[in-house]
Amino acid sequence: MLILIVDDSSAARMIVKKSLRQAGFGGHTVIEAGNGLEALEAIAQDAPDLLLTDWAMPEMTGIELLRALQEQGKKLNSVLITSQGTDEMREEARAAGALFLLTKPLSSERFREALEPVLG
Amino acid sequence: MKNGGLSTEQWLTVALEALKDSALGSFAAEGVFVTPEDSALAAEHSGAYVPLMAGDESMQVGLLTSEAGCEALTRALLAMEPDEAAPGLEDVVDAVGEIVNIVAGVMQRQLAEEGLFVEIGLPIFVEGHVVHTERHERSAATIEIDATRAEVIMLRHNSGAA
Repeated sequence: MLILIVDDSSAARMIVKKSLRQAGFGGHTVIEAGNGLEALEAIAQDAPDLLLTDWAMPEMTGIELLRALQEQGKKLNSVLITSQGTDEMREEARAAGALFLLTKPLSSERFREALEPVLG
Repeated sequence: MKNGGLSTEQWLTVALEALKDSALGSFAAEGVFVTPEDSALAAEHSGAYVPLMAGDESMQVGLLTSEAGCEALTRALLAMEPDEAAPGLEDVVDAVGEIVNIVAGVMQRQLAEEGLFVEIGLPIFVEGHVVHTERHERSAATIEIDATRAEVIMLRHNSGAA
């Protein structure tokens, strides 16, 4: 499977990659984008199977990215990652088509539980 | 609990607990020890601050340490191998900012359980100390994350000091 990781922080993208590896999903191919706009280009070009996106980013946030995909009628398994994770954010994420919202700190156990149904 | 019901020291306690949880959970630290006293780390130390807003309260939570400490925290967070080359400045800035961002998120969730809603801003990285005046209250403690000694700081703007 092809996984697109979107975060403006290169360290945060590395953390997500590390968590994927430690959760046993290291065999999948990963591509990266630095914000929502770059992600839209990557999705159009590479058609990833799973989108793991940060919420707070410059240019285009994660929730704006999901809404843009909805408007384009694109269906993509999407997960929002945030350090916050209020009830309102969960509701917004669900309404924008996210499978779920993962809150930081990320751990391999939580990653495994959450992504097993998607990545097998 | 009403907004503003916590003292600066209580905010610091919440931050320290959040950092302990994050360090033990997210980057597999083996030991985290807190010394309540402000160690008044050297002014050349670096770190990150994240703004917190709760009602009419405005604060910054910060984590400051030496250059070597910043590198050690970055290595731990990114699970870098001991023989991997030193992380670049951009990675260090991102990683230390990410640690404080995670801490702020844990604080937000802990305080939400007690009915206090906290908004979180974006992290900034600083080299050297942030000057505080009589318009700020400052509370700090030393924390050791494995072999890394750092300072956790709460800077709180006094009411009406906007």
